[in-house]
This record gives sequence, structure tokens and C-alpha cells, in this order.
Amino acid sequence: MSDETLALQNKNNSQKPSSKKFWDFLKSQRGWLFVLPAVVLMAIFTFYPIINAFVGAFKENYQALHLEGEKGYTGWGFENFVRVLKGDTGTGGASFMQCLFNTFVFTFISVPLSTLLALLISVGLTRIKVLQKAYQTVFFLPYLTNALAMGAVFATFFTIVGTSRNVETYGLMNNFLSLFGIKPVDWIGSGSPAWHWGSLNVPWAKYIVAIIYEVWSGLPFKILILFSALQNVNKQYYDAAKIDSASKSTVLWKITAPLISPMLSYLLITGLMGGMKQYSAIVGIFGADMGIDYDMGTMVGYIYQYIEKGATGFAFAGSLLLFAVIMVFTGINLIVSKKTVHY
Amino acid sequence: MKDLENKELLNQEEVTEVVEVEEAKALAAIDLNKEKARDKRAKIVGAILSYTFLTICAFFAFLPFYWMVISSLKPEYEYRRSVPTFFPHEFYFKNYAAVLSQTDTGSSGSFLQIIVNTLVVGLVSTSIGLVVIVITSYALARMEFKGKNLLFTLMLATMMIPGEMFTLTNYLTVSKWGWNDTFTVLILPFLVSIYYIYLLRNNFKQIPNSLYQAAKVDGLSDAGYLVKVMVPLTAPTLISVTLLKFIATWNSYIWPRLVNTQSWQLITNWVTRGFPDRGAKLYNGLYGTTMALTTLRMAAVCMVSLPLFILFIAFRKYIMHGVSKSGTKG
Amino acid sequence: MKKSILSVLLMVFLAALMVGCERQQATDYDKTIIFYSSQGDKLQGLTKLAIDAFEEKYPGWKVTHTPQGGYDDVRDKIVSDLQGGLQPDLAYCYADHVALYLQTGKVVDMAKLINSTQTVLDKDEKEVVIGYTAEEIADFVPGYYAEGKAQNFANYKDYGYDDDSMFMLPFVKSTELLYVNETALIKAGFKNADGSAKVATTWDELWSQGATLVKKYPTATVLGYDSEANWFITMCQQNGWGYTSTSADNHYLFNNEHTKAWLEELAGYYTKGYIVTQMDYGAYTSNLFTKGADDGGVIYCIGSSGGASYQATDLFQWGVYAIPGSRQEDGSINKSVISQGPNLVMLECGRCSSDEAKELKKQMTFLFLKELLNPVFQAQFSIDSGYNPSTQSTYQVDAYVEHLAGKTITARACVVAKTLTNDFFTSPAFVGSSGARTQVGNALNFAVTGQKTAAKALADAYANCGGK
Repeated sequence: MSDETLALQNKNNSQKPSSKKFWDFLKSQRGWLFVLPAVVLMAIFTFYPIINAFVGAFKENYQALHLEGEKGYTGWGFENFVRVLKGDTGTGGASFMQCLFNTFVFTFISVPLSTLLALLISVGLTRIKVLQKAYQTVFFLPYLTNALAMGAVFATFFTIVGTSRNVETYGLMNNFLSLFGIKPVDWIGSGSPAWHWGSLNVPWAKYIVAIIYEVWSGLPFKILILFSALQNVNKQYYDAAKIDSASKSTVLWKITAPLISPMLSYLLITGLMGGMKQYSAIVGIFGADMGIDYDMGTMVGYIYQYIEKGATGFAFAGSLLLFAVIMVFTGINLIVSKKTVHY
Repeated sequence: MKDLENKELLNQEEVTEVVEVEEAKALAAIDLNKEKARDKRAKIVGAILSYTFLTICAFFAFLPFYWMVISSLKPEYEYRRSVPTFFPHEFYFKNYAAVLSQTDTGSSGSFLQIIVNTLVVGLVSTSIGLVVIVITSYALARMEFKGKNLLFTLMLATMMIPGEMFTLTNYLTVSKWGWNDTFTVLILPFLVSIYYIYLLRNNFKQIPNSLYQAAKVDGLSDAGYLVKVMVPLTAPTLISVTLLKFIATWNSYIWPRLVNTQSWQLITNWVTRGFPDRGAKLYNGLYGTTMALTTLRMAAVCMVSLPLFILFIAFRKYIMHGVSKSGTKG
Repeated sequence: MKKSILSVLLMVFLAALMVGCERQQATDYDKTIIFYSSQGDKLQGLTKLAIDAFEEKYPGWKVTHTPQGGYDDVRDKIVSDLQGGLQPDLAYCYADHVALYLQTGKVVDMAKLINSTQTVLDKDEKEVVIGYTAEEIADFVPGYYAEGKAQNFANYKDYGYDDDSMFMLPFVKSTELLYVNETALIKAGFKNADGSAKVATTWDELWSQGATLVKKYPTATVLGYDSEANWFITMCQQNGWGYTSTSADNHYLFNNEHTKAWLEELAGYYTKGYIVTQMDYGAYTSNLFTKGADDGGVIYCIGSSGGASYQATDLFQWGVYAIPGSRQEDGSINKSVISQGPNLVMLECGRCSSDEAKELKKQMTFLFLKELLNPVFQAQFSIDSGYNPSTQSTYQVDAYVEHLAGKTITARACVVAKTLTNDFFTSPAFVGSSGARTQVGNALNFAVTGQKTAAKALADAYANCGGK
């Protein structure tokens, strides 16, 4: 046996364990087999779209419809963002600033309002024994509904049917207000009252309708969370408060609220996130054009509108801006809640 | 002298203290009775206040549902009275018949077609989605492989990004692949729900490791352990996820509208269409052929909402549990 | 127990999968002509007859007719389809839709097919010429035919077409008509010497009748107008105020002193209860017309000739007239009226297996299109829909002649619409022209209902169109 063959044998010997090692390695990595379907699906429908959105937003004059073999865009740069922010898309339809403003108004009014109302209702729920479950169920009902279907129901409350000279029905809301001598308002029709600030429309009557809907539809989830949080608050705190003979409202604001503040902050964050993404409820109440000429448009509605128009670049830019807005609010929320929330 | 005085004073104080304590005890006894009475009164007042407040709120929370149901049962001319009726003077079940009798060629599409679409898409996407979620969460919770943590972090990170950012690219992708007007396009993009994977992974992690070791000793494979031990133990969460995923399909509107045409869309799209031609037939021309009648729309809305309520009544616990955990509609 | 539940679930799942597969069955794409329209129940049934006739004549060929809801739905669907190469071979269209599709270069230049002398064999081995003869081309109502020519579109040369290109052919047409409650007019004292109703022929006349009419009928509105946008565009045309142009420098001309003054005038009439529009009422105003003057309806109603059947009622004596005109400085009256209704556009086959298959499909699609334009079919379609046919020879088809002699409101509408042929106009088509339409309609609504001043409404509309 020459040295050479010996060396070869050695090599062979050492190879055997290495291939076994490789096999072992593969076996130890079989977890990938389990996550493979999810990874493939996410690669196509989640990760790729994120990258594509960041790339597409910088393609100038990016059109979905273009001649075959051509790129469909003219160059790279920030033009999409500039034109979206300036409202200068040249295609008509919604203006970004209007949509941003609307979204902020709906969210910043309806989220605190419904959280507060949910807190009061939850406190009320903890103080009763009889029928507690029944009330809980009723308050949870709005959660199960479909935003578009219930939007249509809300629209009926506010719709005036007929002409200005011959009104058939003023709608339930106006009927109710007339009990207090308030004149009928065209809540959601074409003559709905509005203020104008520069190029911004402020259709306040429609805002009220949207906010009422948002508060109503936001209650169930908030009550569910707050009620269970309240039930978990240690009874001892209340006994201590009783000895200090604190008044009920003091108990609520000084003891209960801080104790469930993590939950409140969680609700505010999820509420704000949800609020920023409003769309289908607005379509349900005000129709696919979101009011007249998108005066009730939201940021998500803005994006969909440009998808349908084939103005791909603007849609991407709009979606990145929405992302940025959400990130900013998440950041602010985290900072604020770190300072004020009692754990 | 001063010391003495001081002592006396101290003594006096002691005495008064003792007296005060005794007095306080007596007072406290009276107070306790008084307090009990006051407490009782306060409790009654509080309960009355609570019930009144809750009842008012519940009234408004429930009003839209009530209005939806009674509107769907009224004839259109009754609905249009200037003074609304809170109980139908005339029950008009024809509204439902009219909405159900939409044919495939009608302006709104047939009810049967749309319900079949929704059920097929709902069942298929829920069942396949559940399998994907279970095996992924299992691997993330129990198995070791290179890059697991990176993968998990990436997945969680995407939850921060609004879904609307994906929609456009996904729309372009499926258009390019020619998937418009298929069920595939309604199912595939929504199979992976990261939040549910996260939820289930945490659930799986809570199951003690000793069970796993015991199963290994009994000769169970990973897959066997997953099916025979983990799944039954996390059944409540799985049921919640199933229900919420199905409800999400039931309520989906934007994506089907974007990628599919009328007869390939889902039930929520159908509800929003209105039924103008039916109304004209129903009232023999009293209302124009182009007018969408509220009563008919409400009948459709009722029919869409009913299955959700049945689901809720049957699975109240699971749905509320799932919702309180996830806070999302799917 | 558990097992049986599981097995039932599995069965449901499998059944669902099968239903899914069943619906996704592939068809022979090369020999299936896909046609998108916005037809409702009744008209679909009619189109089915044309499809059956075509399929019988050319064995092996199929036509899949997919209605898409409204015109906008057809457009949105095609825009989406074009991105995946799934576009239909034939579709309903408006000129501004075609302006959008042109950007892809996939619109078939029909001039080549119209002039083609090639033939294909039908089921009896008979040769059928693909193109049209000169007489057949001359049979189209000239104004309708001219609408599809390349010159009416902006930038067509950028997309590979030339001056002779033809992008669409007219299918059926409609215009706007004035439907009048004659009984109400006569009762209010507006009658001619012979006792017939004195119907306003100009806008000034119409408004001058307003005061008497609202006084006589306390819940009635004088005029219901279905389309705000049409009203605006028609007024611009009648008075030469300027609406839009194809010139790329400035597409939008509608924000001017004349339109502003007119909108202010309308706002005044609105507060007096003279006007109701579709947006204002929330439904077509034909619903108001049929109510009658005593029941909160409208006395005059301007709506599409294609929607004449919706205006039908036995409650009172009605009449159909041309819409009011505008008096010019020289004393003449301009009665321009908008011409609308679907055209047909052909798109290149996106996924044909070969170039030959593509070419053949194009020819067969054109032959199917000819079936739809065949006078006998056009006559039946016009009778059922109330639209006007696009070929002159249709007016000689017996069934149509008989229909026009009838007393129904649809027949009357067809007769009146035919007399207006010389007053028809269409507005220029470019990418964004439909946006301008929406914007002027909104501006009218805002100004009339008093939400914005006329100046602000117009300025906003102009800015929203991207005008600077």
C-alpha cells in the first residue's frame, strides 16, 4: 500500500462522517420544511410587495398601462411624492391633504370618544350583577357586523328622501332632533353643509355621521378589553379607597384608570392604527366615491382610487406616506405611554 | 417642676387618648351602622344609575340592528313615511323573496352564486390557512433551525406595515398571472396570518417541555406530537382562529372588488349593489326601475348578518376570546 | 364522533375544492371571443340571439359575453385586464375609455378590417368578406361614425397609429330629451291657441314659466335634470363658452366668466325650487317625472333617450321634445344636444397561441361585431332599449318602422331623437376627459346647492383636473 492510497483511504474515511454530518445538519433543519409554505407565500405576497412599493414609489410617471416592451415610467426621483402632497396628480379625484385631514379628524375625535364611552360602560358593567352577561352580549354585537352593511343602515338614519319642495322622509336623526326644535340638516346628501379652508373642505355634517359610526363600531372591542381588565383589578385597591372614603369619581380617575392604563394605552394605539386605515365604513355610508368627489376620502381610499385609475406611481407614493404616518404615531405613542402608563 | 408638669400633661394626654379611642370605638359602631345604611342607599342609587346608563347606551348600540330588521320587513312606502314607524304596520316578506330571486344576469348577480362563492372561498381558505398557521407556529415554537429567529422577527416586523402597501403589488402580480376571476386569487394571498401564527406560537410555547420529552420516549414523531398533543391542547385558540378567519372572508370587500368581476365576488360586494330592477318589479312601477330601494337593501343586509349572529350565539366564548387576544377582524 | 365530524369537514372541503375547479375550467382561448358590455337582463337576452346566430354560422367559434355592471366597471375591468394580457376582444366603450386603452397600443386599428377584402368560410363553405363595402360605410350615421376616427383622440401617433386609424364603431346611440308633463302645463295656463301645451323651447322661456308653476303646484319642482355634467357641457356647447379641447397645452377651458355667471343664475333658481338634479335627489329624476305635478314630482325632465321607458306613465298626458336651446346674439337659437351611447372597441388578443391565431381571432371578432351592427339586430335592440340605431338602413326595417309609428314613450323618444341628428355634438377625448366630466358635474352641484360660490366651485374643479 503506497502512501498515496493510504491518504486516499484516510480521505474516504473522513468523508463518510462529513456526509453523515451534512445529513444530520439537514435533519436538524427540517423545521424549514414546516415553515416553507408560509415562507413561500409571504415571499410572494408580503416581502416582495414591500420592496416593490419602495422601488415603485420612486418611478416617475409610473403607469400601469403602457406600451409593451417599454418601462412604463420616465425616470427616478421624488416627483410622485411631491405631486401627491401638492395634490397635483393631474387625474382629478381625491386630494391627499384632504384625505389626510379627514382621516385625522375621524380618528382623533372618534378614538378618544369611544374609549371614554367604553370605559364608562365597562365600569357600569362591573357594578351590576343581574343581566350582566346580557348587556355584555348586546354591547358586543356591533363587532360582528360588516362595515359596509351597517354603513348602509347608518346612512338610512341620516338620508333625506325627496326633493327640496317635497320631502318624503327626513330620516330618523332629523326626526329626533326636531323634538328639540332643531331644523332638519342634510347630513349626507349632495347639499350637506360644509366649511371651506383654502383648498380643504370641511363637510362637518358628514364628519358627524362618520364619527358617530366610528364610535359605535369601535365600542365592542374596547368594552371587551376594558371589562376584563377591570375585573382583574385587585379588590384590595378598592377596599383601601373605601377606608380613605374617596368619592366614586375619584376612585375611577385616581385608582381605576391608572391601574388599567396599560389597557387604555393599548386601546388607543390599536384605535389610532385602525383609524388611520379607515375605508370600508366610509364607502358603506357615503358610497364608492366617498362623498361628493372624495370630500370624505381617507388615506386608504386615496390609495385604492389611484390603483383603479392605473396611476401606479401615485398609489405607491400614497401607501408609503400612509406607512410613514402610522410609524410616526406608533413612535409618539410608545414614547408617551412609557412616560405615563403605570405598570 | 417643669418635668412634673410635663408628666402630668402627658398623663392627661394619655387619658384623653384612651377616652378618645373608646369614644371613637363607640362612634365607629354607630358609624358602621350608618355607613351600612349609606352604603346600601349608595349601592341602590349606583345600581339605578348604572342600569339607566347602560340601558341608554345599549339602546343606541342596538338601534341600528333593530332598524335594519324592521326596515327589511316594511314595504317601501311605509319606510318613506315622514313620521317613521318603529314597528311595521304591514309585514312585507316579499322584500326577501325579491332579493333572493335575483338571477345571474341581473344587475346585482344571483344570491345563490354569491353564497356559493363565499362558502367555497371561506371554507377552503380557512382550512388550508389553519394548516399553514399550525405547522408554522409549531416549527417556530418547538423546532430549532438556522435563521428561525431572524424569520420570526421579520414576520413580526411586517405587522407594522399597513396591508394597503401590499395590495397594489399583489394586484399587479395576480393580474400578470391572469388570476383575475378565479377563487385562487381570493384564497392564496390571505393564507398566512402573522398575528395568528404569533398567537399560536405563544400558546405552543406554554405547553411544558416534559410533555415533548415524554412523547419522544413514546416514539412519537414531531408531526405526531403536533397532531396528537399540541393541537388538542390549544383547541380553544384554534377554534377562535378558525371562526375569525371565516368571518374575515365573509366580510371581505376591497380585494374581491379589485380583482374579480361581479359573479366572482363575495357576499359583501353583493350587498352593496342595491337592487333597483327588483324594486320596480315588486311595486309594479310605483318606484322607478333605476331607484335603489332601502327596504330591499336592508333585507340583503339582514341576510348577510344573520349567519354571523348564529355563529356568535353558537361560539360566543371562542369568538370573544379570540377577539380579546387579537383585536383584529382577521 | 370526532372522526365523523372530521370526515364530514373533509368531505365539505373536498366538495368545495371541486366546485372551485369546475368553475375554473379552461376554454379554448384562441377560438373564444370575449365581449364585455354593461347590458342588463333584457338586453343580454337579445345579445344572446346574435351570439347564437354567430356561433351557428361559424362552427368551432364561441362568444363569451360578460356584462360588467356599468360603463365605469367595464373600463376598470379592462384597465386591470390589460396589465395581465387578459383583455376582452370586444367591448362597450366611450371615447375617453379608448383614450386610456390607447396607451398600451393594444387597441385594434379597425380601419384595416373595415377595408379588408379577405374572406373566411362559414358553415356552408360560403365565402364571407370581412370588410365593409363603401355603401355599408355610408350607411352609418355620419356623425356617429366619425367619432371613432383617430383625429378625435390625443397623441395617437405616440402609440403607433396613423391618421387613417379607426378605433371604435358606434353601437347604439342616445341623446338627451325633454320629457314634459303637458297636463300640468295646460292646467297652469301655458297653452297654445289650439289648446296644446306651450312647451319651453329656450332656457329663458323655461325659467319664465317657473314662478307660475311653483305657485300652482306647491310641492312640484319645475325641472329635473338627470346629469349635472351633461347640463354643464351642453350649455358650454350651445353658447360657445368653451369646455375642453384636445390641445395638450390646456385641456380645460370651463373655468370662465360665462360659466360662472350661469352657475350663479342657476343657484338663484334652485332656491326658488325650480331645479332638482340627480345628485340632489339621490336617484334618476325620471322617478320624479312619473309622480306627477301634484305629488311632489317634476314638470319638465331632461333625461337620456335611452332611458325613455323609465319616464313612461299613464297619470297624465306627456310629451317628448328637444331640450331647450340658448338664444344667440343674432337671435337664432342653438339647440346643440349631447350624443352619447356605447361604441364598440376591439382589443388585441393577449394570450393567443400564435400570431396567426391572433390575426384570425381579430377577423372573427370583427365579423361578430358586424352581427351586432346588422340592421335587423339593431332594429330589435333599439326597440327594446330605446336607444337609436347607428345605421340609417335600420330605419327601413319593418319592425322598427312599425315601432316608431307606435304611441309608446320609447317610440316617441326615438322619433324625436332622430330629428336632432344635426344638433349632435361630442366632446374631445383625452386621458383625463372623464375626470373633467365628473368635475364640472360636481361644480354644478356645489354651486347650485349653495355649498360653494360659483367661482370657488369652478376654480376647485379646474384645480382638481390638474389645470394650472
